[in-house]
Amino acid sequence: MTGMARLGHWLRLAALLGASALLVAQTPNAAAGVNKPEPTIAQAKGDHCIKDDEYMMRHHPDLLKHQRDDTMHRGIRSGEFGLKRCMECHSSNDNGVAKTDCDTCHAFAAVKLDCWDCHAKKPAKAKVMPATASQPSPMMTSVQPGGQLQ
Amino acid sequence: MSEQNKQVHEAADGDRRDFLKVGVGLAGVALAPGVLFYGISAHGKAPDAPASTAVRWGMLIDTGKCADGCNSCTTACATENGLSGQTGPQDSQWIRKMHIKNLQTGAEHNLPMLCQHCENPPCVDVCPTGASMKRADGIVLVDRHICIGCRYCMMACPYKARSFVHEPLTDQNPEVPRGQGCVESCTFCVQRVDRDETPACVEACSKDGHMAMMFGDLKDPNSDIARAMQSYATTEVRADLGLNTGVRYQGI
Amino acid sequence: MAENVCMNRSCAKSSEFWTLLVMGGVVLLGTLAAFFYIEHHGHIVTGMDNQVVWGLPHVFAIFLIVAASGVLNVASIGSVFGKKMYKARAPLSGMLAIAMLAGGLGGVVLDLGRPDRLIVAMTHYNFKSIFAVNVLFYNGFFAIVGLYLITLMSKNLKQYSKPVGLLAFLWRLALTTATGSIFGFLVARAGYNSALYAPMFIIYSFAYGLAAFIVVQSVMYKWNNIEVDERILCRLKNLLAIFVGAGLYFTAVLHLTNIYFAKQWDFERFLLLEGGIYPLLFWGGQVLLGGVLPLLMIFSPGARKSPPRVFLAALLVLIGGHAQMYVTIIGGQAFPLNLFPGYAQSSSFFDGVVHAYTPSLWEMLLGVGGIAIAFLITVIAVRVLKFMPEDDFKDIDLDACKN
Repeated sequence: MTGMARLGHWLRLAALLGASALLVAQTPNAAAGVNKPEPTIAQAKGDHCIKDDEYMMRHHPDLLKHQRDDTMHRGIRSGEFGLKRCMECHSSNDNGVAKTDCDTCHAFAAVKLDCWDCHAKKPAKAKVMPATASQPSPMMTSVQPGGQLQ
Repeated sequence: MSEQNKQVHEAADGDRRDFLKVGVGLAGVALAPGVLFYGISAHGKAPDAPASTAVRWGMLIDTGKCADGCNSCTTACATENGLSGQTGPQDSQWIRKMHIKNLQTGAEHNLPMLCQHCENPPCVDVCPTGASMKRADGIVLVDRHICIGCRYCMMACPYKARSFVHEPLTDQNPEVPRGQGCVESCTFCVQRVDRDETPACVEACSKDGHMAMMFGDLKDPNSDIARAMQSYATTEVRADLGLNTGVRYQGI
Repeated sequence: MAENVCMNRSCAKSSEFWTLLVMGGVVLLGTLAAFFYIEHHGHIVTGMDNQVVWGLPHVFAIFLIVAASGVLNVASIGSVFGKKMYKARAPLSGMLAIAMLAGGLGGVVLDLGRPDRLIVAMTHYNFKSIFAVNVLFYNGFFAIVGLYLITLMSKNLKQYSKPVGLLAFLWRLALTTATGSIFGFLVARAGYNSALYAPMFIIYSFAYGLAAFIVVQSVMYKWNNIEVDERILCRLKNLLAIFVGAGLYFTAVLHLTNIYFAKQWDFERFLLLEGGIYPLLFWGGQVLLGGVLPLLMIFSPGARKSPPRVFLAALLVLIGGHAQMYVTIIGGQAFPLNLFPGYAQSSSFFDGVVHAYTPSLWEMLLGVGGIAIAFLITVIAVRVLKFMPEDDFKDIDLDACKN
């Protein structure tokens, strides 16, 4: 290459390296958790969730997905990780508008949720399912195998 | 759940049992006629138990008792499941009243038409992702998490039971999640069935005194519905397709 | 002759290429606008409803998918059956197959109720569903035809073009059988529910594919001011006539059989006589424009010397094909399901009545979007690589075509 072309070549390389350095400059800080901006979970009631915060943050997508398949395909409605159960603590009513704590974190992480296209943002009315088997209805005249005859 | 909560619940359970033992006798005597036998022949399952093939949910509809112009079942369905209740071409209808008239004889009948919860559902066969599914206890459902909205199941259903949600929805019933872009149909009010209750349409028909709809476990020979089906002639709509539907009709 | 060929960037005028690209791009922008509008507002803005669930986008998309599989036929006749004239046309045929399939699939995907769940569709398969089997076949088609193109156009791999060509030929037969079975497997509807749909779609694909190939080839030749040798034109047009005739035969058998069954009389009366737009499109579009007229034109005296006549015949076959898809897809849904044979039925859910369908602008944009995608891929491919058929006339037996 000619002298001028070589200079241009080096200048371009320097610019590329400089831009890359700028991009990754904050990485050590981020890895160490320094100055990390955090969303707040506004409304949750109770001291902590079913499991601790770190675990929930990491695993909640898998827990929800597993629970949804259990409920949907196998009909298991108890279980700690159902969405309705989450809504008991993590939903709130803000001037008549239902809100969930999912929104703050997900807005921060820029991960779009489509749960709320179908799921309501409020807990189910009244009937909270206990974790143990409920008593068969007194109106029943016949029983499922293994159940109790009233 | 925490230990404290569990203990409270167990104590409440004990009190509840005593109360119920006394209450059931009185309740049985007071409520025996009508509602008790027609509406509540169902038996549910524990919430932590999976649906089981030992049970098959079914419905029996006596068209002779179905009244012309009555819409209790459709209204109850819309209320329970959060449907709009509108009847435009793009509105979801999970149950509808049909009026049929024999072209040869002139005989007329009314009946509710809903998802027939077939044993061999064509909608389940054709769904590319497996979202259209049949639960172990026979209830045919759409897993809206994996439904991609291709509408092939709507092409396949012989009963036109399926609806497509054409617009974004808000204010759904928390028990019945439903939303834009997915296909849906009658679920036998699975959220109620799993709580030992009957579908809203059956309950409404009983409450109105028509008693045209009966719901129960087809596999239990002692259930009201099984005994009724043994005694009376019942038909399957489009029996020629060999689908073995869970919904049967009397009087047509 | 080969030296005059110039479509790719080594010699063709850039401005023509960019003009074509912009034209296709503008249509595609319209399609994307329609797609985002529908995704945001829901299908309530379209003419599709709970009665007619597959509309105009599917008409265009399924036509493209069927024609894509058929356009590969030209290459197959070369590689599998060894006809030299077709071998020269194989790369163009393979590329068009990929472009048209991409366009057709684009149309289907853009019309999904939840297009954001395409990944779900790619990862959850219910193999009992012929639709899911189709998805696998389409993906495999891209891979196999891509490989086939590589063997055809590379310097070193030409000896593999025959086995890969055979694989591509068998794969597309399976694929089109599966596409026809999407309708044939629907047990409940009077308009479908027939094993005949699978072979019928195969024959339709032969006809539509060859017609599409003739149209594209004619345009390319005209663009380059080259005359197609009349002996080549003769063979292509006669082959098209065979396929169009076979398509008419299958259509006739389907409807004659249906007319034989009393239970099908109502549907056939609707489709062939009383259904308004459906008989019009069937007789006027599918049979006349797509069948009888092209046959007359192809066998008219002097057709082999008249590229414009052959081009027009091929174009009519394409138009007739769209009419056929409309009648099949929408006519089959417009006729109501018969839950209680022998009874007049009515309800709040449009039982017992013919279902009306008026396509909206958004659906038309989605529909032509598939064509735009295929068009853009073709334009770019033809610019970048050499797809113009290069005929070596001393090797071809061209006197076999007498008419």
